[in-house]
Amino acid sequence: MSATPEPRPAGTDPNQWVDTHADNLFRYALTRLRRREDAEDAVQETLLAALQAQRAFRGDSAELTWLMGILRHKIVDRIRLTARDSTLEALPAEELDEWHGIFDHWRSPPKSWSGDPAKLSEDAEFWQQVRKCFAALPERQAQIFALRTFDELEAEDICKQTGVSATNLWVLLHRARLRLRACLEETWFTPESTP
Amino acid sequence: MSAVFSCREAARLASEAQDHALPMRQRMELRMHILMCAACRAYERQIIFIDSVFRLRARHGKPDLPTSEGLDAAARERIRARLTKDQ
Repeated sequence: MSATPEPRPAGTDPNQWVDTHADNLFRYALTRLRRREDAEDAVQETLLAALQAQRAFRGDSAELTWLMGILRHKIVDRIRLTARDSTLEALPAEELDEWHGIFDHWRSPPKSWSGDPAKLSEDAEFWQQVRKCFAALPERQAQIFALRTFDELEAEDICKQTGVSATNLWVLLHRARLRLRACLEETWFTPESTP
Repeated sequence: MSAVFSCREAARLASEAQDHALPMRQRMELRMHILMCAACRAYERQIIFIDSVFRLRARHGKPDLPTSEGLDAAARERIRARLTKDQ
């Protein structure tokens, strides 16, 4: 299922790509791959693949969207290659220490959050905090969660593209959400209004 | 009911419900638990909140997290040189 890049949009000049798009592509790659060198390599591979996609332009995707599509395929390929050994079998247990008592109640019960997702989605300070919480996720959880949310892929499509089984995918997303919500509750949603 | 059906299990199902349609029985157990358990009710709202705030950022053209620094000059040069060579 290796990615054949979409045709290059009309009127794009490869000489301008690094100046115009490298930072956006780099940020996208770094969010998912975390290591600087890996992200740099992914940007380079993406632009080289884009260069080779010379067929006539059919779609109406803007240049950056087109390049990001190629980059996303590269990241999915990478997950598929590394996931093969680690996620065909049951994932290792991970004790998140969220639970206590014989009935497994919340150790620290989730509170009601105030705030408007639409406003927060544009709040730079909030995203600085999310970045820290996200960086604390294990790599595979972070990659899958990014595909599910930022890239808006359906769970089913993530399984098809990455080769991760549905059961493992649900577990990874569940663990990512548990961690993110605990981190954000502690660091951003201070319990001021809760009695 | 909520005694035999733990918060650990409810949290797992609440997350799974974001990713696929739960079988009827599980769906009803989850709804029942959430009806009676304020903590799991809050949890479900929180994870929906988190998923949607990520999606909204992507829709503003930022499917990523902020970085402290961008692509550095050396990498930029290396990539530029590689592209020129291939053209």
